[in-house]
Amino acid sequence: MFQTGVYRNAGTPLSMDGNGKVGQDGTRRSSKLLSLPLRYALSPGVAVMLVLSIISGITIALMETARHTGELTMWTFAKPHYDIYVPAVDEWNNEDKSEVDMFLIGRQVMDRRMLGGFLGEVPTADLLEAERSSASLTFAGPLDAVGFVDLTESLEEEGLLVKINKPSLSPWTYEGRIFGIPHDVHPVMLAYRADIIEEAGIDMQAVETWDDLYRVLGPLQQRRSKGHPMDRYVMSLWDSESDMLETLLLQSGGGAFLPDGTLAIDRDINVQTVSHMVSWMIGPDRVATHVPEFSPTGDQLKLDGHALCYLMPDWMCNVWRHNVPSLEGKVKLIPMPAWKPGGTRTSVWGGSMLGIAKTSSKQDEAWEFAKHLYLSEELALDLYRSGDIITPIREHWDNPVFAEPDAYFGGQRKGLMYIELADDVPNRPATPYFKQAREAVQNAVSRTKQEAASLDLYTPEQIEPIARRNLELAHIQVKTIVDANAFLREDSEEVSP
Amino acid sequence: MNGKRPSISVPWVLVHLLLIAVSIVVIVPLLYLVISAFKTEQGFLEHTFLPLGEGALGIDWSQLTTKQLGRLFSSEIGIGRALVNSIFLSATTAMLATFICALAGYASAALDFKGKRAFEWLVLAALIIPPPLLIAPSYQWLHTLGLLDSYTGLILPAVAPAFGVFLFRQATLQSVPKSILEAARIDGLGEFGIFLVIALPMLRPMVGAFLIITFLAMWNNFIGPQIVLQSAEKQPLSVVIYQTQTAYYSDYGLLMAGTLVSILPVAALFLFLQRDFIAGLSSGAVKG
Repeated sequence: MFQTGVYRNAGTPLSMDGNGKVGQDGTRRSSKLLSLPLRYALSPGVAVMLVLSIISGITIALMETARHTGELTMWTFAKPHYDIYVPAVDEWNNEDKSEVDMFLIGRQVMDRRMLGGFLGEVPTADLLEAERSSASLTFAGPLDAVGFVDLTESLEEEGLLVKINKPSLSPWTYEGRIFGIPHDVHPVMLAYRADIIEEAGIDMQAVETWDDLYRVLGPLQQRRSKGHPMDRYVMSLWDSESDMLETLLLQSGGGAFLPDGTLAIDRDINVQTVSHMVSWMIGPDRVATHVPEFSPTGDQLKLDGHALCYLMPDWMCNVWRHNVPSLEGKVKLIPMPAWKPGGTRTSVWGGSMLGIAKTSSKQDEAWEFAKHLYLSEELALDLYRSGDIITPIREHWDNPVFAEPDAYFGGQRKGLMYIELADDVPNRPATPYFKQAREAVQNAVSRTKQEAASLDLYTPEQIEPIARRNLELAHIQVKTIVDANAFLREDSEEVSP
Repeated sequence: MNGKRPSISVPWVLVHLLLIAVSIVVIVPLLYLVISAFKTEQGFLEHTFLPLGEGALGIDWSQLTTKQLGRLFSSEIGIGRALVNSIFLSATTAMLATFICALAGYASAALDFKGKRAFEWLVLAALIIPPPLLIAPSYQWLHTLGLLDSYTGLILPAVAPAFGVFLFRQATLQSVPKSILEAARIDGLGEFGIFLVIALPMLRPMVGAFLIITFLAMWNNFIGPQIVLQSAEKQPLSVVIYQTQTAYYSDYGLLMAGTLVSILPVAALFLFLQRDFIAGLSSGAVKG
């Protein structure tokens, strides 16, 4: 194949000695020749890599590697979940049942693998624990194209629907069918710096609405000196925090989608809520500031008391406990102030579910394991003890663990407080477009904030026309994406999957 | 130089001031990383660099700890195994990829064979394909071959990158004179021998550079191991360090300590191989 013309033209094949000279006897001095490549090719880099490869290879071979021989596989995306599940999985595997192998996988990778498994022919796990943004990706087509097994009948027949907190099922309910067991409830309360507020003699129990909150805590805002920005604000809320914006919109009865999944970004309730939120963030007397979550900067601002109040879903309690431990005893909780007297005092932030892949060849065993894992009281208590997460299984709510005083939150019976709000958690429709909608709403809020500030318009009434225009634009933008989905169009009957 | 002191002039001072400023920009984040790896959670949040206090040199030494490093190597995180995995994956891939790319690059530059043009076009075409596009088909292939959740499944797709083949082709064209190859052929050396004895030593600078490039690429590979590997004990450092950050909170001290552990071997390797990285061997090779 190789045309080494010069060699062929040379006629007689000759041998070569160690110096590259050719011997006349026609034989190759193979031993010397073999040593040549090594001598020339073994540069320090190659030698180092070779040594590293051999030593590490031997080390790996000697190290004990767990054998994965399970008949069922489960993927989860969160290490705290994984750690909590290990005992339950071990317990299951010790019984005479289909053995389960559990794997911890990054969320983005799980999204890719899950969709690959559902839409293509690549392998996927039997059970998948998916966060809302991941699971909803699968709800983009007709019912029979959803990659998760429809659990509605199983849940009904086994009487589990009444055991599970109803609103917690909504993000996994598509076209009236339920595709996952909820992992959590994630009700939201308002955390406040009790050390500062109570020292000022303010009783937070008297706060019922957002207007009450700003009226009562407004005097505690501090400015170092005239011309400087405030050192202390009432509320941690900013237009860049899309989760917070969504939480408040849902609490007000709004949100980007109607309960049936119809896009409704530009509805009146959203316009009013956005106008109020923007009014909190701008103007000489603004009451909101930016304290980013999950960042050292934000943690330092929390320690400094830069904001007095924070939106606090149950899982966020655990974040604070780990990231700002020195605030122990200085923070307390109340239900979120309502938008109007008598209004809803909570909202929802985040959520995960456990679903069974349709591609699983052992769906019955997977269902049995899913129940063993998610319905277990032990797991519910572990979730709360190690993650501050309230289980959606109502029969476990009577456990005394939830009534224990929590030292971090000033000895409040935090578990019970969250449980009392669980029924009022807003419904969220299962839609693959909620991320796009959330982003569009956030952009609309940012634009509204910028425009209103540049025009010196600071009251909700003044801001409302700007908010309406921007939300209408956001609605059109997301609708364009939604309408591109042939399955969700009105003429979808004509389209075969 | 000959022992002469450099004459200090205004441009000399300006250049050195600029270099010092650039060095500070490079060193400060590294210093921050090293110090943060030894700080307590509270110390991390309260002090940018060393925790100031009433101890010796005005530093609160009680806020410095090796606890994070201890946790990393405990069974809780198990970074030791991840370190070995990363070294194995990176070193093995670097060696194989360098050897195969050098072979292919040499063949492309120095030999005439049927389909050579097609081969070169294929390499060029492969260069313009964004790697994320290959994730799904690669995953399917690895599944078909039964290589999922194996080191081989991660190493195999990385041993013949088009970039490397093209790099060695260009290096061969530039550094290996055809007259030397012809001389070796006249002397009767086989093609593989010519590659090993003549070409490869002359490509040593590229070999050194490519070894480090591929070692680093595999060392920093984050998505690949998560796609191909499933077992926790097979994951490399990049993934294990990421997994110390949970869905709910971040332990910054642990993250910094993990990052420190992950960059130390690579930094040491680079320092050790930097001469190899920059050495030139081809000069004077055709002296007659």
